[in-house]
Amino acid sequence: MNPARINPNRFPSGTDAHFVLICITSFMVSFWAGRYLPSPANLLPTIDWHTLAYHNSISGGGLTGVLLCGGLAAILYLFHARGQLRAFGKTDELAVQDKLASLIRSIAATMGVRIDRLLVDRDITNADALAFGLRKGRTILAGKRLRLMSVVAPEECQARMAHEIAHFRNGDVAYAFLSRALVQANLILILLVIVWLLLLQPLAMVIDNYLVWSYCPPGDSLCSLLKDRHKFSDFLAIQGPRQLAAYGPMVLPGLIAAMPTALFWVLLLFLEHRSLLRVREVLADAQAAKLIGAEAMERTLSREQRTSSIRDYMRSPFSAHPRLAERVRLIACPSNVALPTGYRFLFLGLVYSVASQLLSAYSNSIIDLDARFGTMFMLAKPHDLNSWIAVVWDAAVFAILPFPILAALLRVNISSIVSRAPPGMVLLRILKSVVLVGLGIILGDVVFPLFQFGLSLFIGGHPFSTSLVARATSIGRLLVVLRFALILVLVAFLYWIGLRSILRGTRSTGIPAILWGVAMVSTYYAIWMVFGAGYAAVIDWSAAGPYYLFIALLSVAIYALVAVPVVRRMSGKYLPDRTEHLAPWVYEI
Amino acid sequence: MSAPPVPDMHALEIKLARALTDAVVPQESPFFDDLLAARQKPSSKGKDHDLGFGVSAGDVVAITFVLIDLSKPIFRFVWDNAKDATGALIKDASQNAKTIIEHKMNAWLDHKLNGPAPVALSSSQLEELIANVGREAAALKLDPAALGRLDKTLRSAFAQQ
Repeated sequence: MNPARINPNRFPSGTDAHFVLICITSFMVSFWAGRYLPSPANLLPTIDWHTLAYHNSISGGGLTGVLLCGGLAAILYLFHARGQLRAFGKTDELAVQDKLASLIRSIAATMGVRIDRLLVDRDITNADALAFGLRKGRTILAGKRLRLMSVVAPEECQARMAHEIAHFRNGDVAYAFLSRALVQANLILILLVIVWLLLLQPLAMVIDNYLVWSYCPPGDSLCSLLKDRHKFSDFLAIQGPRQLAAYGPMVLPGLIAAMPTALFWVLLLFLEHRSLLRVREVLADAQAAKLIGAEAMERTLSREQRTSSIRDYMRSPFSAHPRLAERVRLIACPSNVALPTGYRFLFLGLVYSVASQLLSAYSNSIIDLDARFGTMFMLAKPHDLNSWIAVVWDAAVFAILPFPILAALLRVNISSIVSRAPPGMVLLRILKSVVLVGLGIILGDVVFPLFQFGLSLFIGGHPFSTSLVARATSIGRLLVVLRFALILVLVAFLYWIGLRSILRGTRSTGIPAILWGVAMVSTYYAIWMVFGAGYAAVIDWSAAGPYYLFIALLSVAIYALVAVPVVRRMSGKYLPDRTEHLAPWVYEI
Repeated sequence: MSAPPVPDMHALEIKLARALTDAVVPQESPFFDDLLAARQKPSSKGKDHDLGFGVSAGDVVAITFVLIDLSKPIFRFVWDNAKDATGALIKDASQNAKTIIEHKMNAWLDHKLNGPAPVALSSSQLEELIANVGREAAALKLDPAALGRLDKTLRSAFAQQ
């Protein structure tokens, strides 16, 4: 182990932020899909064919989709190990006395990780390895070539196994499989939407028409006598061609309207899932380099050609592994592991925009259905539990939605301080990141509604309800984006101040994720409140200026009360003259 | 005149490769059968698992593969140039004689090239063999240390006559 090498795994985990983003995106996709699907109330205890036949995405509730997605994802996650066991074909248990087994157990013991099962496949050409399994079934599945490698190239074998065990150490095995389960569950949901639109809803329409056709009013004895002539087969024989002529053309437009948006969601989810996988790979590389040494890691990574072609660059957003050149670069420069790319900020801005549009549309739709919800969202009434739930929901969404952006800004600062970048460089990085977020938001404002707007014109010749076709890009919207960008810059500046203390403190143990979360979110809330109150005070000083000024000062005071002890706890004793070394926890395994 | 067919060459090649592996890279010996099977029936490029390491092993532990590849030209050279106890070229010998020599070679290879070789190579032929092997090994990118051990093994094997 290299005690002088920093361990990027000690920083707030990039995989946490990625996973939050996948959860947000999954929620959006499943909510969107759920609006197309019928409600369980229309199926149980009896099937309401009429409601099913005329169900549409405007009247549909999205929570069905969310619950379905959650249930499917849970099942897929619980059984993920079974699929992984078959990944390499037939396997055998690794003998206890095998050199590879000893090597794995030794590394696992050093990392403080318990491995329950060691398996090896029967393919001598396979030098890959997988780490999977829930708490009591942690498994390492190794290719047979690793057994040979443990004898003839033990250091490289150690590097590979340290990488795999690092996935358990970093806790990202659960994230990888949970996020995969979420992506798969959403794909199943979208397939269900296709089947519903293409087959089941038209069938429901036909059945509903049949029920109308075969209905006998009470007291109509003649109709009752002819009941045996009102069979479904009779209906199809008489009405079949007309049914087909009437409903056939209605099926495709609905599908065409839904599918581009579905593809957009699938692409978004897939890209985010792949991004999470890439982040966990570089973090596992960093952990292995810390334990085994950078040279062994570089040597084993260099088994394939290192230079990237244009094709590699184009494939990289869809790849589960970073480009080799990138992996080797980050091994050599661990401080850059925490640094998100520019594309990442662009992507985060896009997702933020799309998510806020969807949530806004949801809120508007609810208000359209029941105006009481509008009041509920605006102000919590102390005696009304529902209104408190609504306010808490809003507050949670307010914090969670920008969380991935905040986490990324924090990591920019961490990387800059650890690599001892001059303040000018730090400022440039922050500004670049925030500009890219802003561009991503504008892109999301323009791209996503275009799908819905264009398609609604295609289908009906006029746009759908404006609450679904979200905000157009205008000067007003640009100013809102600019305001958000300014808030992010101020937040990033406060992060930088806090991190200088945290990273140069005396704390020896790692910092729990909750402390990072509190520090990040409280800073954002404080800046937002001060900014908002200040803005309102300036706009309308005469009416309520002193009130808003009081709110701003109160926010600052509350933030100081929260942030100062949290930062002190995170840093231990601050040593301003510490320039050569960072806090001890940064070097922990 | 075309070269006479070499009887049971494939099995003898394999035995030679195994014996050379035991001598040159004994740590790979336990894996010889698997490596031979992979060499004879190369599998298609392994799937890059999403959750795997993401980098192949490349040419790691390729020494046995090189020895398997080298065993064929070594054996061909020996069979074409070696002489039996009477001083006659093996390739010109009668079928019965070839069969007897084949059995002796089998036994010699089973004993990992220990004991007198059943066939004789002159000094110049041995040097020519070593030179040919060196060229082939360089083309196959054999590790120089392994090549040195192979050189020593061949000299030792055919020196005992």
